[in-house]
Amino acid sequence: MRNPLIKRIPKELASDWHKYLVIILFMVGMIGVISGMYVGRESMVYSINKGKTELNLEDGCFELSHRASPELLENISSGEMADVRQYFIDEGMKEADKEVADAIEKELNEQVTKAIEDGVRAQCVAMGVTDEDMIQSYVDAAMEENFEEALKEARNSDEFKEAVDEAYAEAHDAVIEAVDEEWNDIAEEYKLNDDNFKPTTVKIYEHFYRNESEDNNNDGVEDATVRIFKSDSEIDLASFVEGRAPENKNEIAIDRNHADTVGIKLGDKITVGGREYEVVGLLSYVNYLTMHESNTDLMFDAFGFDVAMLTPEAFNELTSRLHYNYSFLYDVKPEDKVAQADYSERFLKALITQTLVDDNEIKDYLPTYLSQARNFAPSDIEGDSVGTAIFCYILIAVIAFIFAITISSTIDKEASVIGTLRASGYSKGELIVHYMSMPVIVTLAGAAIGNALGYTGSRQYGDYAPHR
Amino acid sequence: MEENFLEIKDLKKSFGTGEAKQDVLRGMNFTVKKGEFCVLLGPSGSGKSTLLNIIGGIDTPDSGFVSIKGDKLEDMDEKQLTIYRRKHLGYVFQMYNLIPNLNVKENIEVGAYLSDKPLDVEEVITTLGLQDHKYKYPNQLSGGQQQRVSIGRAVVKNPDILMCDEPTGALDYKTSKEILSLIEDCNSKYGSTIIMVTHNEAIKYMADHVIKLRDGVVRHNDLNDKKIPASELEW
Repeated sequence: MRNPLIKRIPKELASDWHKYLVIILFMVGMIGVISGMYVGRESMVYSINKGKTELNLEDGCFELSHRASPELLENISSGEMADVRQYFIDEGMKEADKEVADAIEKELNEQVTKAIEDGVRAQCVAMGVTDEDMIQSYVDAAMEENFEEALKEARNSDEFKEAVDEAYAEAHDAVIEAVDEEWNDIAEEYKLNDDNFKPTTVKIYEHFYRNESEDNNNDGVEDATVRIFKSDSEIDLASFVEGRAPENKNEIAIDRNHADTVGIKLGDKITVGGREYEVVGLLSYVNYLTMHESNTDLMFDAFGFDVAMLTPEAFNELTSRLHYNYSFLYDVKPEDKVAQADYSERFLKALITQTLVDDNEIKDYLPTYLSQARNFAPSDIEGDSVGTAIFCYILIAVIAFIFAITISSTIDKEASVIGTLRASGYSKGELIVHYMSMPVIVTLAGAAIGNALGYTGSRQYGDYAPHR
Repeated sequence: MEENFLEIKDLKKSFGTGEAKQDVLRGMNFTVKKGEFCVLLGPSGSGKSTLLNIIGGIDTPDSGFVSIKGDKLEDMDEKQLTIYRRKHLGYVFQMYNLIPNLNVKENIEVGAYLSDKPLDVEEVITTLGLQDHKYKYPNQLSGGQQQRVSIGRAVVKNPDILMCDEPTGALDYKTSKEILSLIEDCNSKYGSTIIMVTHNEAIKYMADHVIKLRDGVVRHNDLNDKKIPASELEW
């Protein structure tokens, strides 16, 4: 026989439907919001992590003042530090040798000239010649006749050779001393004297870009800065929310956040760098989840900044300065955040030293783990999830409170019935199950409906979620 | 009616401590035989309800014991007591304590559900004269009708002992007599042992066994050979 008390539950629901309706609506609302936030977060984190490998996210990038030579790229890839000290010394030596040689030549000329002149004047005094013009003509004649010979003789003298060696030695010592002093400062600043240094090998990709002006409504006024990459890039790929990649030089694909924000749609014409393009794609670059133009920007700016894709042909026709940006991927991926910092630091040492000895200059360096454009959204979500969790705990407390009150009033009302049922032989467990079933059913119903709504309605991260 | 079905031995119970301590049961002894109609008579404060609660395993004595069919209640744990109540006892209270959102039939089924040898629900409803009301809810019934349902709920379990705590306390004279007749019928028809607590002296004439209580002890313990039917009672 089925427990007749079960029949009470639908009757209870029917008779007190307004009370339970309010509770269910409240729970559906709260649970819907919380589950929506969790689902949104999960799907966002999922797509972010998926994009990391599928879209070939860089481990970092650096920009040089001019195009890197193949040797430089090879040296940077090796992850080894260049011997900057030796480079400085070699350069210093070259300079010093040249100066010493010049000085010696000058001194030698002077001394030989003086010796010849002194000899002629001594003879003139002995012969009683006093006329200065006469003396000068003798000197000139002697110079003409003996200078080359005397110079040669002087060069071959042991005295001269000794002096030259001494001068070079002195100059070289000075160079080494000066370099060491300078080197110690640099080495200390960048911690280059690391005995435990291990090379971090990387693969480097050319990832040049240009910053151009963007005019959304073709009124001749600049509306935003747009950072343009080439469509044939092998790294930091884009996923397309709508449309496709540009296929000819009149087409452009732009960031979908920016497009949403300023109201650009597929098929619109925009002016970039003075040329007009048709928007054929709305995309999301894997390394630009949010529109941070510079890594020091505190907040993204989807109004004033855009990233876009052009065909290589169209890219090369643009006239603004080319940014020699290079992206790299570690050959062995760092395991955690500590390792990321460690890898980045070691790579930077190689980059600094190799660039220096190649006479290039680093304009910018940004490891991906520090990139705002890449990490702002995920860390924002992280923060939200803490909030969601707190919200969730509060909800649990509120639900518990509501049911504590309703159950307690039910029990007060039913005290005599409960006593009778106990006396008739119902066990405590059976009665607890009976009186708990209503709140449990209401909670489960609220949770089921709330979750269903949360799943279907979780669009709140649509603002910067990458789509695939 | 030979065996000692229920035995009460040296039962003591007090409430409160220190000066406020009140001895409710002060060494109570009696036995009830199987199938007996036993009336516990006494003024209020004589310990009737406490005694009933202890027999029902709802309350525990300070000393002494209750044994049923030779099993002492004090040896039973919570679970066994529940099973004891479930299998052997039926309760009828002065306030009918029906479940408000179950109808007559369903209220009686609550009792039937608990028993492993229940009587037929429809038959009990007919015996109680409730066949026209079986789909009514308690708030649609008179006091007497509600008490019938309450008796039905207890009787349908086919209990060894039917405990009635002032079953007519809230009813008028006529209805009281009807209810008493019904309890009498249950006693004769189903053979249940009945222990009825009341302060109505007249009821003793319909009982086999009358126990008068005062100040927590048994004052009189008499068997009644000349019992009369409930319908002939007068007070």
